Amino acid sequence: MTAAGGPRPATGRSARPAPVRRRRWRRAADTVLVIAVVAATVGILLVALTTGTLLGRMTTEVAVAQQRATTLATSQRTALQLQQQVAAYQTGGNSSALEIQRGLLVRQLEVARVRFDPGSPPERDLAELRTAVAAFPWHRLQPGSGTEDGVLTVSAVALVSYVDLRVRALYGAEESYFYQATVDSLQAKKQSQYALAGLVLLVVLLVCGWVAMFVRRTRARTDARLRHQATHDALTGLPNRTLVTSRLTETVAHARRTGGTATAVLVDLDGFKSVNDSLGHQCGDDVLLRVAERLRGCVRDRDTAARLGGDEFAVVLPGGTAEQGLAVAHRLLDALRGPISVAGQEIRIGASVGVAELSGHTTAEELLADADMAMYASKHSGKGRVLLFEPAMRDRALERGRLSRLLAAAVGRDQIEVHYQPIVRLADRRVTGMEALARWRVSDEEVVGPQVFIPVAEETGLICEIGGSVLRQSCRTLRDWRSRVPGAADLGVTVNVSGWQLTATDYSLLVADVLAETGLPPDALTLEITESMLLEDSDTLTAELARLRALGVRLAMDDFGAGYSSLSSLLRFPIDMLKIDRMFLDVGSSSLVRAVAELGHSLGLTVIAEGVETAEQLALVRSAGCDAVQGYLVSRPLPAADARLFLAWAASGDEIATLMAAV
Amino acid sequence: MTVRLLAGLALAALLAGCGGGDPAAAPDRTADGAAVVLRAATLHPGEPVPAPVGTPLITVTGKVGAATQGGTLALDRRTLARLTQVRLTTYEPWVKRDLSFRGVWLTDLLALAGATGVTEVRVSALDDYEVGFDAAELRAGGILLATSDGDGADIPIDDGGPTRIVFQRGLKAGVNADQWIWSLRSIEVR
Repeated sequence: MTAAGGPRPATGRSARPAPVRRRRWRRAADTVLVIAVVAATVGILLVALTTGTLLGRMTTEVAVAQQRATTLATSQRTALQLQQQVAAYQTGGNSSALEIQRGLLVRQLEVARVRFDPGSPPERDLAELRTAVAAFPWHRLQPGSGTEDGVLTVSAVALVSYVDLRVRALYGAEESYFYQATVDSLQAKKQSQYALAGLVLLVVLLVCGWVAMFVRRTRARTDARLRHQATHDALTGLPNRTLVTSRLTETVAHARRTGGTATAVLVDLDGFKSVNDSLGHQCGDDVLLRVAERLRGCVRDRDTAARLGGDEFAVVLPGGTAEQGLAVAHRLLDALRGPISVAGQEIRIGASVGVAELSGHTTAEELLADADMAMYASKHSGKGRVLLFEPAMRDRALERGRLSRLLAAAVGRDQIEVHYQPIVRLADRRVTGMEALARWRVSDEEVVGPQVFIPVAEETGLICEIGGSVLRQSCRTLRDWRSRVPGAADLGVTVNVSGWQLTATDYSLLVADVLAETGLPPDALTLEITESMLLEDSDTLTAELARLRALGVRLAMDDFGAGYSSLSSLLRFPIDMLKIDRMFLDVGSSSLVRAVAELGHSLGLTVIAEGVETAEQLALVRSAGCDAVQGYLVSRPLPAADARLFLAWAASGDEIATLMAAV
Repeated sequence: MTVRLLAGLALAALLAGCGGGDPAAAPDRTADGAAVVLRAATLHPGEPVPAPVGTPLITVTGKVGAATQGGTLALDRRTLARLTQVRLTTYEPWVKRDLSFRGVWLTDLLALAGATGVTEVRVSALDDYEVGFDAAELRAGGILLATSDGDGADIPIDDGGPTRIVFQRGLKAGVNADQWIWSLRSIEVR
């Protein structure tokens, strides 16, 4: 059991405010990341720079220390050589070698001095040593010791030893400094490497995190877009059939759980096809957009307006009753009636609306189907209306489906028969023609009339087969009668043609084929068309009628006066005959019949009165000036065999004349 | 307008042409006191070299064509003075200042010694220090055997005398200060 208050139907609206907050949070995270990356990068650069400078300075210092150490080592070696020369001089007495060695030491001390900064202690030391060596009176040294110069020799040895000592001390200091500097620089290098590695790692991690975040966000956005595309109509942005079905399923489930209800409203535009055809698809799309806008404006927030496809829309009202549904439907219809201006034109578009409320239904699909049936019924009851679903509609729809299946089977089994109703010319009371009428023999006893199955046949397209079969059968029968029945040599036949047949198939080719096959003169065949057909006024229809006329076939206008009467259609189309609707006879107004007959005559047409059932009616049409009559008074429609008997009887005896005269 | 522009262009071209042909553009080697020939040679390669009087200033050994003492060319100061005399001012890397020297080009000395097919020259000092110059460094020239300072006075041994090798300014062979050998004893041609 659900908690009090119950779950609201999921509409996706309650989650709206969250993305804004999340977006702000993401922006802050982005900023922090960018700052972190930039800071880390700057850190890396700083560390690299300072380390570079430090290492460069260390390297220079190490090199200098090394040079100093080398020079000092050379100086020390030279001093030792001088000491050897002094000793050698005491024993051998090579004064020039001593002189050279002394000079070399002076030179070497000078070179070493220059290596140090002027005024520094080592520099002063070396300068002092150099001066001492240069100033010593080497020339006064005498070979052999023990003389007064022996003191000098001792002094010389002492001086050189002192130089050696001092230089060695300097060398030691320099060497230790060199080692220290080397160790320091190595350490600095290592430390900087650690720091760099750490920082680089940090930057890499941050960038990876950033990229991951970006990828996730992009994917989420793409997913959302794809989901939206899959569940919404591309043109109007309204939810599509998929989404509305799923919402309806949720709604139905929720209603069943809580004992609530739901209502579906189905809207089908009237006359949208002609807008599309006459103004182009661009205008058609514009119209659909306007309709979608108006639809959106008519529903509450919790309701769902959707486009199911083509010019079909739906509104789902969760918790809505049939009354609410009807109210919404009427509001919709009113909203849609307003003119729509498209491509500089004012278009008025209507709609047929069906409403169905959830009642014992099990699925969302069934609810939609009910609304669809109601809409269908509305469309067929004259468009521009709102109808509430009634179970009878489903029965009718089921009946229609059953009929169409049976009819298809019947056509396959040749169960469509042709019956014939005689047409009698009033002037000489002769049977001049027969109207061929299709009959569906369901069983031996049951025969179904065309008013039941022709609409179904037209819907399912079976009309072409049925019409063709009727045409062929009746022409063959007529040829048979004309050759065999006495007095029927110039008999004609009248066949009804559906507008659907004329526009959808090459009907004139079929007629030519049948005429050629039967060898009948074309004027023996009369094709009956209805007024409403002519109202459609399509180019295909006009062209087809012209072709039929060219064949020599005669054309009759059936049910004249029954629907929208348009005198202009009589003038525009090549009609030979006018069949006055039985309605005029029911009214019993001789002046009306006379008016129509006179109109027909004035246009040069033959005028036939249909449905003449009583002697009074016959008298009426006769007095009105009709040329021929047809009806139960003469004969009901007869099967071919009976019709033949009727013809023979009519030709042979004068009983019909008696019958007619009696009237 | 156009005419004036064309005239300007022509003038510019003329000036440019004159500038290109200016003979004064030749570099003056004396301008920075680098190398000045003081006196032309009076002793040429192939001529007999007189034997040294007293202690020779320098000896040339190894692949030597002309010899004064059994396979060795020993030269005293007077004989060296008969070769082309050059004064060179250059930066002395050991005392770290500019100094002037007089002496002979090492290549002139090798030519006098009749050294051919030289691959290396090894120079050794009184304290047995040694440096070498390869054929490429010798071909590049600019290596001076200094015999006196810029004023013509002998170089005391305290200052790297009596003879030493100095390099013309900016010479590649003289970049390393260790090559600036002083107090020479002999030159060996290999």
